[in-house]
Amino acid sequence: MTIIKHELKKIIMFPAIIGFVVLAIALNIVVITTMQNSYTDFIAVTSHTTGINLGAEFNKQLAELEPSLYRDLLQLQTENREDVLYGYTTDYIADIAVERRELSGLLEQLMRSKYQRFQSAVDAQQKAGDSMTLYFADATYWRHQALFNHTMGLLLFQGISIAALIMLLSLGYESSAKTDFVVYSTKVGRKMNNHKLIAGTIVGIGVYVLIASITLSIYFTLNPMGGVWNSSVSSGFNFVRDGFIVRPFVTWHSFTVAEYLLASIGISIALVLSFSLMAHAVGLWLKNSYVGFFVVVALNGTLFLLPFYLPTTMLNFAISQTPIWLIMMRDSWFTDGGSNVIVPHFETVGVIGSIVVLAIISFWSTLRFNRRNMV
Amino acid sequence: MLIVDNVTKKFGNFTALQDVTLEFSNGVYGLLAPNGAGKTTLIKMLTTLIFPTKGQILYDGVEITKLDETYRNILGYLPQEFGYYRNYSPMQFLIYIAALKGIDSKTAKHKSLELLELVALSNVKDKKMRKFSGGMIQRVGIAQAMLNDPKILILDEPTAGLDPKERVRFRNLIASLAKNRTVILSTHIVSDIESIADQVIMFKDYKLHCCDSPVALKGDKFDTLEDVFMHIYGDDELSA
Repeated sequence: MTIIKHELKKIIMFPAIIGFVVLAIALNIVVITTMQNSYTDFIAVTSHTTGINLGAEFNKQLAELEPSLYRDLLQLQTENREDVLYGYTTDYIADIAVERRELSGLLEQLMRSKYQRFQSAVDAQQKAGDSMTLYFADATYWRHQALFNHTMGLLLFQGISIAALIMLLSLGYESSAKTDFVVYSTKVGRKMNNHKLIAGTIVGIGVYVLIASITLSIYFTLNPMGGVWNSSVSSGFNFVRDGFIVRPFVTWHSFTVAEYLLASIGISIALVLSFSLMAHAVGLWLKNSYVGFFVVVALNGTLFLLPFYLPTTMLNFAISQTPIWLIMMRDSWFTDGGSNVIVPHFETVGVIGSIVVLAIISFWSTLRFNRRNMV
Repeated sequence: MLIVDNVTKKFGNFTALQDVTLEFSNGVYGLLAPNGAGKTTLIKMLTTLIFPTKGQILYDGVEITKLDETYRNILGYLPQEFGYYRNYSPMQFLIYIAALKGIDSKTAKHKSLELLELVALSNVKDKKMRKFSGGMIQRVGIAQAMLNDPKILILDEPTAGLDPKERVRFRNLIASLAKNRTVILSTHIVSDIESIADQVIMFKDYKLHCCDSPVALKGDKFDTLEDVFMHIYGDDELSA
């Protein structure tokens, strides 16, 4: 524990890390300030009075509010709202996916099976009335994307970059200070890198949580959610753009906006962890931290581009479960994931699978490092 | 007892050391050879930084890689190029290295103060090391190597870059540390070890050339160890 404390102190004192955090928060503030909208602010406040469940009571409460342009607009968007999930079937999404990816045999079977199971999720949420919740009415898609795609995406890219950089700087620290021979000949020896893995992961996740906390606090101060926190993300106002097709945004399980945010942060933290592990595995092979960072970027760039050049096989779908693909598909987390994924709950399966595989690679790299000549 | 048993070290096709057999017990051992003769290779093998291609290194009859941290726990090492954290004070650095050596924080503090006193750095113990001279850094290096009161103290070219005055001071310091432990001191400077080494080990053509006391090496034929060195390696290898 004492060694981990020392390593934590060393990492926290990296000027590059401190600079990165300050710049990231500054950038996020600039981006967030472009996301303000007075109509969604109105909905956030109004939802305290009207509640978030659409229907007669909602209409009555809304009608009793002081007349305004925004009240009238909201009335227009919510009155006579039909349940988009009523009678909604997922077969056609499966057909599109099979046709688009030219699937046959086992892959077609798996894709159709996913959508058969997804039908149950759709039916359950239809019964629960999730689609008949307010969210941000017609501004839902824009506001949902602003938070869960753009802001969370920004945080995620910052989180994984800083986590990888922290791990690589930590592993390369002794080499750059030329203390490696002294350190690796002490009692702790090459097990030092296990302490660095723990310390680097703690700081990596810690920095993500710090940047995310500050950024999201500012976001929700500037863009209040009010009663909308309790609305379902599978509101009928929310949708998915799947190529040229627009279809309802439906999750495997019923999520309120607040729950969906927490779940998304959970997946983000797991992805930050996976990048820490990835950087650990790379850092054990390379002495220079910045070269290591370039390798991590190149590796993920390759993984991202590979499926575009590979035939549609199981490997192609497996690559779509790697961390970089999970990040690129962040606005589909907890949904069916479209034609890019073949398994239900792709983000959870992908992130757990990635962590397990990367932990094995990291362990193997550690074993190799322990037998390597330090020249 | 530390035994190097028929050890060969190759890097690809290059043979750095070949069939070296040595025994180390308490006392000062001077590894004396020109640069590139394999001194650092042997030292790195003794400190588990590199591994023999052939042969084995035993401590009390057990291979040192099998002993792992038990072996490194009795080891103190000052590498040829001693790195340090420029923004740390000697005290902070010693406490950090003590943690790596498994020394509890209370003992670490006490031992660090004691060693800084020994190496005459008490007055600058809380100053950042970035402004220290080469001699001061080497003294921090020796202090960190001594933190765990090692049974085996390995010093690789400890006087490199020091001025003559500091070299003399360093030599005296090493002599004072040599009681009840094995000190292996590598150098290409004859005067570093002439007066303090119990045994002098010389390598030639990547093989062990000799291992004997300075007196025995000089015999009747040579007046000084420097003459022995010149005889073995030639005039152009003489460094001091």
